[in-house]
Amino acid sequence: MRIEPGLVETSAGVVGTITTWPSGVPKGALAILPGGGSTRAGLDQVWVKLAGQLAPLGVTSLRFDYPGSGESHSCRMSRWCQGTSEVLHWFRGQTGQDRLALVAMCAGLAPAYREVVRSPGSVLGVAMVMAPFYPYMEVPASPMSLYRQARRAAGSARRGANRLLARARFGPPDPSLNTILPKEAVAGLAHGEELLVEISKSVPLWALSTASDSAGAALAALHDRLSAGLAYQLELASSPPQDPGAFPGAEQVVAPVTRWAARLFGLREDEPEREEDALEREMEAS
Amino acid sequence: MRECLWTVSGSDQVYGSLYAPWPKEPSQGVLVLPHWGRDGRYLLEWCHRVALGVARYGGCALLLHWPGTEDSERRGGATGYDDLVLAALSTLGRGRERFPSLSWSLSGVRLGGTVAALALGASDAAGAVLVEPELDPQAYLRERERRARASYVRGYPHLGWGFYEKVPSQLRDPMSREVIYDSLATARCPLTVVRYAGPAPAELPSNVRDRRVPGHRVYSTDHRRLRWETLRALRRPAKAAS
Repeated sequence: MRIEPGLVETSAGVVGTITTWPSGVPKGALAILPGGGSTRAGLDQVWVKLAGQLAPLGVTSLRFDYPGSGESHSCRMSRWCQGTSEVLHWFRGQTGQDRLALVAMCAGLAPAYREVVRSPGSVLGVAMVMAPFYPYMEVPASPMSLYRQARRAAGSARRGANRLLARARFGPPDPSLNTILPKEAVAGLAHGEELLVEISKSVPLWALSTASDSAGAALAALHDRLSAGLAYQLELASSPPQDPGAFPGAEQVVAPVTRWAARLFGLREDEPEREEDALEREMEAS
Repeated sequence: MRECLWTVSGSDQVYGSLYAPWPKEPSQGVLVLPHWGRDGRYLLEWCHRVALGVARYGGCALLLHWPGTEDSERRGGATGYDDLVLAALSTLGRGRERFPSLSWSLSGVRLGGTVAALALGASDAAGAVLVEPELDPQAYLRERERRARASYVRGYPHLGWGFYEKVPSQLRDPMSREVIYDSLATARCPLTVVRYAGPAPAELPSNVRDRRVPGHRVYSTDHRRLRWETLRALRRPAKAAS
């Protein structure tokens, strides 16, 4: 396994990437699209662990920071979508694989959907971890919420002069976590269910959720509702035994996603490639 | 110019991100030590901006990821303060290998500031700028865990720091404030602490220059003023050296 950090020039700016190469000849390529506000390592290094599990199977994986976050902090947010697509295009060129598998976490659904819709032939399958369903968005505004909204607007107007002074002295605001995903990328997330249906019409879609996840019930309903013709699978991850109601740990995400990738690429997960075999294959290839 | 570097630190592999002016030779080196854990993730872009700011005024900055977090690999057990100090010193050594003629300073934010204070004696640094340092790390970690428990009680879907990321047991080891204060008091290089006016800041040893910026640590989401003041303080050792 070889872990190779890189800085890729895109039209948005420099994007920080990490490619994990298997020891032998790669059998497939997979790109990880983290959630909003997350870096390419993920919480508790979940994506680092996933890349480490995929490499022995022969899968090359890409982790990258979205424009505006982590290593890609100096990118132009106005070209967020193009920058993300260009990185995936660069990865295809690096691996020589025309079709990528995508693992999307939460807000990663937006770039995954765009990639599938724009060039369906270039995506092999999509794994969705913790789908972004926001049922509360449909709740009508209450008088209290309207009052809070008005109070927030008044406070913002009152602080306007100070904001201007601070901008003149210290420069424009630093990108905060709220701006790491631009509005055009997150706008579609309010219709997460529709995006998943559209993806499943083009490529095989697999979703991972837990019983405690607020989107779990909606995903299960979607699973029942979708016709058998659509390639959609749902898997419920087990919660850690010591805390049955909690969000899954990194291991509860890594193991099922690795199984899914092995199935997608037609690999046998129980028989990881031996180092000697990998070297032999490499010599044959060269 | 930007580069990504791997540094071997004990059994760990530490990721580093280097910022330097190009083509001219940098005037000064700064090792940027980020904060720890999930809070550290929220300050990561801020640390990158400090590193970029250093490169813009002609210096070179090296930002590391702590072992077991972000892109750095941790092969041993739980991370302790000794491992963090070793990671900082190893990365500093890597920076000195890359630019041997430069004088290097340390800059750490929150727990990174604590590690910078602990590493001062062994680092032979030209200066140090500690940004909102956690001078009582045990109190900070206790507070962090209390907040994590409270968020779980309120019904958030995860316990702890998300995906079961928790405080490594070694970081819970009782390390008295006196150790950190002694390290600051006995430092031979110029020391600056940059912090917000609120909440009421703790006392510092007399040899430490205290720079306060208006604002509050908790309520300030965009730490531009802190970054601005940090860059000003970092330029001072470079000017003195030149």
